[in-house]
Amino acid sequence: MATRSLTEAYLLMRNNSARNRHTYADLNHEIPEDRVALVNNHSAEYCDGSSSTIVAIPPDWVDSVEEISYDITRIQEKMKELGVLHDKHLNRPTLDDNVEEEHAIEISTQEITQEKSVGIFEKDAGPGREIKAIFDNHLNLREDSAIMTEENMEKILYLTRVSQIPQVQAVDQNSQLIEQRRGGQPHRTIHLRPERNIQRPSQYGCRTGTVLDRIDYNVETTATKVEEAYINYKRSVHLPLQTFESCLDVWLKPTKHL
Amino acid sequence: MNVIQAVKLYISKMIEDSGPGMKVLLMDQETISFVSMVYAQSEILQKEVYLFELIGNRNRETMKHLRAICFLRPTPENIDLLKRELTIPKYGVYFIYFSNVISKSEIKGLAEADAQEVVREVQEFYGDYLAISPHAFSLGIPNCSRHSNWKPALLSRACEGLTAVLLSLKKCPMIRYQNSSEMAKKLAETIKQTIARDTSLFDFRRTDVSPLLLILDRRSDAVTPLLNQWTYQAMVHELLGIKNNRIDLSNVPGISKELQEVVLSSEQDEFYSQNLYNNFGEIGSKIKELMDEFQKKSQSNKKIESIADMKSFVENYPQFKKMSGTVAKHVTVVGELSRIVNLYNLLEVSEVEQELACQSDHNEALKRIKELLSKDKLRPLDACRLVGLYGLRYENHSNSNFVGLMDSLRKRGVSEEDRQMVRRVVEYGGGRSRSGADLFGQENTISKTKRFFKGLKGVENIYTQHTPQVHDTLDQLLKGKLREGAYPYVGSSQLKERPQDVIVFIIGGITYEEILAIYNLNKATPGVKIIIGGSTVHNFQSFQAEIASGTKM
Repeated sequence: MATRSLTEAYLLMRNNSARNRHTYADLNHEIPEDRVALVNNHSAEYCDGSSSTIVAIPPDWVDSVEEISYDITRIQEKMKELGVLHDKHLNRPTLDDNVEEEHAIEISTQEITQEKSVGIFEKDAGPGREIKAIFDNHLNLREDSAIMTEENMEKILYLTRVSQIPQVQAVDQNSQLIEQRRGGQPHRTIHLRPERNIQRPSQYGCRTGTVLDRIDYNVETTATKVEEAYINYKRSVHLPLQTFESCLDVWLKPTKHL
Repeated sequence: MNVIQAVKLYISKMIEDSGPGMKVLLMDQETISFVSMVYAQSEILQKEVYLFELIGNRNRETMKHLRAICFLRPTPENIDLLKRELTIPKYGVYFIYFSNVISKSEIKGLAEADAQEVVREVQEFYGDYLAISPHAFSLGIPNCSRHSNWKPALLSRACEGLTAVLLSLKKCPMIRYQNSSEMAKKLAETIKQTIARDTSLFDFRRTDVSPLLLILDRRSDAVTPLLNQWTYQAMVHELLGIKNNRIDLSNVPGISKELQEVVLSSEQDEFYSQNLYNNFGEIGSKIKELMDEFQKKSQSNKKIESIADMKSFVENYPQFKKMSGTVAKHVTVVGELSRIVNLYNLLEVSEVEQELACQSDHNEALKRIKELLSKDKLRPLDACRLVGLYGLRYENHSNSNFVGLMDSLRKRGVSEEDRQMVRRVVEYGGGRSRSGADLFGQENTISKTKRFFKGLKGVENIYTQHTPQVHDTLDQLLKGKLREGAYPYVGSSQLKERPQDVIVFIIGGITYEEILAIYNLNKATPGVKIIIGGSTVHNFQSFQAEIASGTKM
C-alpha cells in the first residue's frame, strides 16, 4: 500500500501564491494616502453590517482546539510508529552493523519531542504562552547562577537539593545551611548542573508548572519556619531572665501591696 | 496480494488521518464505485463519515462544521471542480486524496485557488480500480479498442489503473506481454515507461523472485465470454448482469419493491461469499439448507411466553432480520435464474456450447446446432452465440458449414444487425487475430493426446468442462514453459526462477469464469499468488459491445 504525500509541496505553492497575490494587489491598487488610510469612512457601516455575521461565527478558540486535537492525533500516530520501530529493533534484532534503524528511531524521537514542546509553545494564545514565559524566567534564573544574589540564594540552594534528597531532610538541611550563613560563612560555591541535563526539554511542557509550584511552596514554608525558629530562639534567650523577673514579681508583689 | 484489502486500507487510512470529528466523503463518479466495491455504507458510517457527496453536485449545502475528505481521480474535470470548490469552500477543512499520480502544475493550480487556506493534506492514495474479489480487479473501461488499437484516452487510463494496482500491492514487476497483440505490446511499454519515470515511487523492498505482470489480449480467447455459465456469480452476471456488485431485478415478473435492486457483495454477504463459485445444482441445495435454518429460527421466534423469551427475541431480532433479508434476496435471485434457464432451454444450449468448445466431433456438433436452431424456445441471443462459437471452432475445417448456419439464422428471423455481430465475433477472435495461438488444443500433439485421454476418462460435469485459456497460459508460466517468443519481456532483464507473484491483465475484459479459474489455480498451487484483472468484466452482451467497437465493418 504505497502512498505519496504532496502536502509540503502544496503548502509551499500556496504560500508563494498568497505572497504573489499580495504583491500584485499592492501593485494594482494605488496605495492610499495616509490620511485616507487611517480614517476608514466605511468603518461604521461595516461594523453594523457585520455584527449579525459575527454572532454566527463560532468563537476564535474553536480553531485552536481543532488545531491542537489534530496535532495530538498526529503525535499519537507518530508515537505509535516509534513504538513499532522500537519493538522491531528490540524484539527482532538483525544482528548486523546496520544503524539505519537506530537512526530512524532517533529521528522520529526528535520529531515527536519537538512537535510536542514546540507545538505547545508556539500556539500564540492560551496557556501555552504563559508556560513559555514562566519557562523563560526559570531558565534565566538558572543561567545567571554565577551572579547569585543574596535573595535568590535560598531558592537555588533548594533547587540543588530537591532533586537529591527527600523533602523533610531538605527543609532541615536548609535551615542548617541558613544558620551557617548567619554565622558569617556564606556558602557561595555551589555548583549548579546545567539545566538541560536535569530536565529534558520534552518534559517541560508537562512538568514546569508543578515543579515551580513546589519550589514556591517550599521556599515559603522554609522562610516561615526559619522566622519561627528565630523568634523561638530569641524567646529562649530571654526566657531565663523573664522567669527570674516574674519570680521576683511574685515575691515582691505582696510586699509592694503591703 | 489482496486487492480488496488494499483499497480498504487506503480508505480507512484516509478517514483515520483526518482526525476526529464529523466528516463528509467527497468523491467522483468513478471513485464512488471504487469505494462501494469494498465498503458498505453502514461500515463507513461507523467511522464518523456521515455524508457522501459527488464533487460534481452543485447543490451541496454549506456545512462548515464538517471535515471534507476528497477522494478523486486526478482528471482535468475533477481538478477544475475542486478548484471551484476551494475558492468558495463549503466545508471547514479539506483533506485531498488523489487516486493516482498528479502533476506539479495541477497542484499549483489548486494551491492558487486555495486562498482561504482550507486544505490540510494533499496525498496520492493509489486505489484506482474496482476490487472485485481478493484476487480480481477491473478498471471499468468497456469498449477500449477501436480498429484493433487503443483509444488513446483509454490507453492512459489502463496504464494508470495497472500502475495503481502495482503501487497498492507494492510490486515493481517484470513485464511480459502477448506478442501477437499490438495493444498488449503498447500497454506493456507504456507501463514500463511510467515506472521508469517515477523510479523512486516504485522503489520497494526487493523480494527474492521479482513479481511478474503478464498482459494478454481478449482476442486470443474469444470463446470464454461466449459460453453460458453455471457457477453462481458467473451465472448471475451472464443472465442478470452485475454492475458494481449490484443486480437490477426490476424486469423480473412480480418482484416486490425492495428487491428491485439487490447488492451481492462477497465482503458483506456470507452466503454469497461461500457460494460464489458453487455450481447451480449445489446452490439449489444450499438455498434449501438456508431456508430450513431460517424456518427453524422463525419457528423459535413464534413462541414467546416468558420475559426471558422476549429478551432473547429482542436480542436476536437484528440477526433474524438480516437473515430474512439474505434469504429473500437469494431465493429471488436463484428463482429468477432457474426461470430463465427453463424458459430458454439453456441446459441444452450449454451442452452443445461445451461440446463445441471442448470436443472435436464436427458432424455431431453441426447436427445438434441445426437441431437447436429449429426449436422455438431458443433465444436469438443464444442462436448467435452458437453460430459464433461454431464459426470460431471450425473456421478452417474442410466441411465447415458456417454459411449454411448463417442462412438458417436469417430464416429464423434473426435481425441483420445480430447476424453481422456473429461475423464480427469470428473476425475478432478468429485464427487471423490470434495469429496461430492454440485455442482449441488442435495444433500440437501433446494437447491432442491430453484431450484424447480426457475424452476416455469422461467429464464430471458436461456443463462446466471448459477451462479458459488463461488457465493453461498461467499453468505453463508457472512451470516455466511459456515460450519467450510468444510472450516476450519488456526490457532486457528476464525472470530465471519460477514466478511467485503474478498479475495477469487481459485487455478487452475478463469473465467470472476466468476469475474462478484463477481462484482454483491459486488454491491448487501453494506459494504462488495470482491476481487477475481486466479492462472490464464481461458477459455475452457486454462482450458484443466490446467487439462492435473493436472491429471495423
